[in-house]
Amino acid sequence: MTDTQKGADVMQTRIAQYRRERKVTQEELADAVNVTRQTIISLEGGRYKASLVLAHKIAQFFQVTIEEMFIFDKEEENL
Amino acid sequence: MKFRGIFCATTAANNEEYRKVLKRRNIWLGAVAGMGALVALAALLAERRSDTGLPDYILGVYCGFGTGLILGMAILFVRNMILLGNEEKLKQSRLENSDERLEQIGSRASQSALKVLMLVGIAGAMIGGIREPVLIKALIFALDVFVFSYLVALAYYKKKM
Repeated sequence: MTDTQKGADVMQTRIAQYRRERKVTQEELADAVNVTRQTIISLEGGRYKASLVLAHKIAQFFQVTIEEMFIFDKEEENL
Repeated sequence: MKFRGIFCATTAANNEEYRKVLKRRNIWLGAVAGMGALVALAALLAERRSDTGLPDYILGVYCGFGTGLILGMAILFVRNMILLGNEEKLKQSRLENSDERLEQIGSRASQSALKVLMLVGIAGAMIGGIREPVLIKALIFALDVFVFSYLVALAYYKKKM
């Protein structure tokens, strides 16, 4: 696996930061966006890339834009 | 429309929707268990008749297959009934069945298992085929079915996506 591919498999997010600021638990967020708590943990740890629909749901939950919530690294995505 | 089956993921957004999904699944479970009962019954009847000419081993396989289907579906049915009677377990099951990450994990695990199955199948047939040529024929048939199904699925998803 190349470095680029490794980079493309992960994505940093600000979910944990927003969650702490708004005092929302992982369980509450998971319930709100219809996923398991483990998925929220994986997203926060950058081990899983959310689909566009899930990214939209999470951003909508915190009332921010997707770009604010998900850190899109242009270099890692080869752009 | 998303393909739905007994073991497939669901898009149910709340417990009420998921409850309906489980009730529908229970009907399918009953139908599959009924098929299993027919297979097992046919094997038992064939065993009693001496003029079928089928080896006992094959009849045992059919009987076991049918019984396995009945037992498997019964277990799933009981599990679904437990879920239907417990809101918390129902919610947990719904989330696990609709979670996109778990769906991806399942899909990747299936791909890996398919690769292993193909490798073991090919190696087994090539080695075993030395003594039993029918294994080579079975391998060629299985590969033909795989390639055909792959091409059909590829064409379908190219149109769909």
